[in-house]
Amino acid sequence: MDTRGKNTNKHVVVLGINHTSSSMELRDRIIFSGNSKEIALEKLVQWDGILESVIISTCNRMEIYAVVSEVSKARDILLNFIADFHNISRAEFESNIYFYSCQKAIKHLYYVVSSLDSMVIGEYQILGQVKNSYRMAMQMGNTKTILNKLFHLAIEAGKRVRTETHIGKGAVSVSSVAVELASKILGKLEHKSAVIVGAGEMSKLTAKHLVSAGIKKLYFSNRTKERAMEMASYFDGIPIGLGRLEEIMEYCDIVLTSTGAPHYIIEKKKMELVMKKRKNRAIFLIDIAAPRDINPEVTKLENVFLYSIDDLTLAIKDNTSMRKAEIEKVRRLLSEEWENYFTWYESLKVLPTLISLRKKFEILCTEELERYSGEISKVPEPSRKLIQQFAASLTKKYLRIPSRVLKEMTIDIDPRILAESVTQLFELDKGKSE
Amino acid sequence: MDNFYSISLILRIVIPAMYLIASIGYVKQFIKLSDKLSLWVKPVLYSGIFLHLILFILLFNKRGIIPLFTVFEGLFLCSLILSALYILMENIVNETCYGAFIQPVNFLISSIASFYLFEGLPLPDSMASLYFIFHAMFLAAAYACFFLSCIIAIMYLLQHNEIKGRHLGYLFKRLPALENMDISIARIDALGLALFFIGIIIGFLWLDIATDSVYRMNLKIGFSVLTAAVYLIEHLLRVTKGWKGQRAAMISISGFIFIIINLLIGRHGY
Repeated sequence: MDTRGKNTNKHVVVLGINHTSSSMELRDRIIFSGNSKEIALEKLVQWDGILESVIISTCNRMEIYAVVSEVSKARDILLNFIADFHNISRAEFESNIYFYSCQKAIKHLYYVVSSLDSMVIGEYQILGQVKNSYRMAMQMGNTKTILNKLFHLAIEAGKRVRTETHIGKGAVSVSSVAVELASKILGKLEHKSAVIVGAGEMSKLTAKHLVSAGIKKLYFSNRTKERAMEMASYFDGIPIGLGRLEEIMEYCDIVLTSTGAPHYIIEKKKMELVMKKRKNRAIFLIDIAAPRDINPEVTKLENVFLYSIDDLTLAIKDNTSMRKAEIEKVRRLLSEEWENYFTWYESLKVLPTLISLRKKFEILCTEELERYSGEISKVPEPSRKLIQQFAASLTKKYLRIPSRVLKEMTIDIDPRILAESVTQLFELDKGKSE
Repeated sequence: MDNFYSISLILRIVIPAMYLIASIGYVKQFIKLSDKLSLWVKPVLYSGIFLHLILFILLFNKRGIIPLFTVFEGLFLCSLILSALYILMENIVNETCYGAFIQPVNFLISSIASFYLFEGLPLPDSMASLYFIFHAMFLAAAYACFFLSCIIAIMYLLQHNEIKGRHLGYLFKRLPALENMDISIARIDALGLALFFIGIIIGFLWLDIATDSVYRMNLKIGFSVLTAAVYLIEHLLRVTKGWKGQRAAMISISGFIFIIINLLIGRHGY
């Protein structure tokens, strides 16, 4: 049986809720947002049995990582804590909770930081969120040796996944694919402008992405003037009438349309005139309306790039497949990485024995120096100090190799057997030396 | 003398080898879609350029005049300028994916030039003059610009095809933005055109002195004038008619075909 991750006194556990185990409404009731996370961390450490803790709370998950003295009681303790903190009964959320301990808990954290457990596989926001959560817990004194090492190594693993695999590459939402395309056609978007025709959810989302990508000038147009003004005010843009669309397209490099009009609002002839005025500068048209707003014939024009919702959806499919193809590579990388943690964790089990061994050797060293103190006192002061230093240094040197080898051996041999052997070999359980 | 040939032989092998190694680094980054280039690539490339310059100086030292008397010596200088131009471009646009295309071509050019460096009949002394040296230097620099813009134009067409064809796959993710490439082509062609014109004007001056006649047309001069015309037309159409993007890229590649023909023609037949 693989008993790694199972220390006799300390166990890593995780209790949580995420987008697969619960609805958004339930998550909203038990997440820790803003100041409440700090308060929760402060309270959590006061609960009996919780030795260390970190709370990760995002819109898609709430997880409490803890080091506990007894695994059997940990689930109940954490459930009671959540119920108590949020003033909600356990029954309302208990069935949506997942609870892992020891190895499974550790591996779960690695899956989380690598985004394999995310709603959108490959999203890297989670790595930053985990980092911030850990940093907050550390600053509040909620973490000690075990969680410090675990989170440090897990975050490093998350970074490795990001740099060494393509799990996060390629946009997987309509608006992010549109922005990615815009960047590939027009280069940096900071000096570009865009016009959004239509005021639906998709228009809003794409506008958001464009603003994040650096677009400074946004124009908004809609059948209803008020909606256009509302959007413009929200994004600090400029509202324009639909009649001015052709005029504005002379200056805008990106045009997003989703009017839902029964006819084309941009025809090929109109586009030709626009391109003439634009002196043939490249323009990117995104038509997410159904039926389509832009005549597909415009794509035959030089430097006009038109993408419909179907084209964007196909691109998302390709990118999602690419990310899925990377999952196996990520799993292999993670299994390498969590071995580092397990190796360290196992070496902890021989730590008390190593401390006892060092103490024993220090006592021996002191005793021998006392035995020869008479002769040593005849030696001048600087030389006396040197002798003491020599004795201490020799003791340390003797112990260096056995300490290292002992820690390494915990990978293949049960640490309890090793500890027992060293204890017997050096009679660490006996009193003063004979 | 033996020392010179031994050193030059070593450098003639090492220089293309370093360009090849740098190419491998750039191609590896391109294939793997890595965010960063491996740390060793730029030092190797810079070392290659440095050694390239050293060999050029050694040749200059040996001859007592800038070594541009054979086609291959011209190509040798062209490759050196291409490397320097590439480094400048990479630092300005902050994009290393160009290296995956440009460095292998540069390796090819430097290999051919290095291999045949001491081949070919030199120009007769009666024809050699400072005018000729400057004519050849400006043309070598212009050719380097046109080499660079042609490669970028090919990359442009590949990316253009991907985007227009809705193939947002392998090449799309790796190639740079269309507009960035178009701007690079425009600027490099403009620079190349200016250098080319200066080189041609100096060439006519040299012709006047060397042959007592500025009107001695030959195939090479004819193609040079054609080449200049192609790039001039590209520039004018870009500025006046807005011929950007795909059309401009295709003209740039056509102009470069004339340059290849020009190089294959060899020397002026005087």
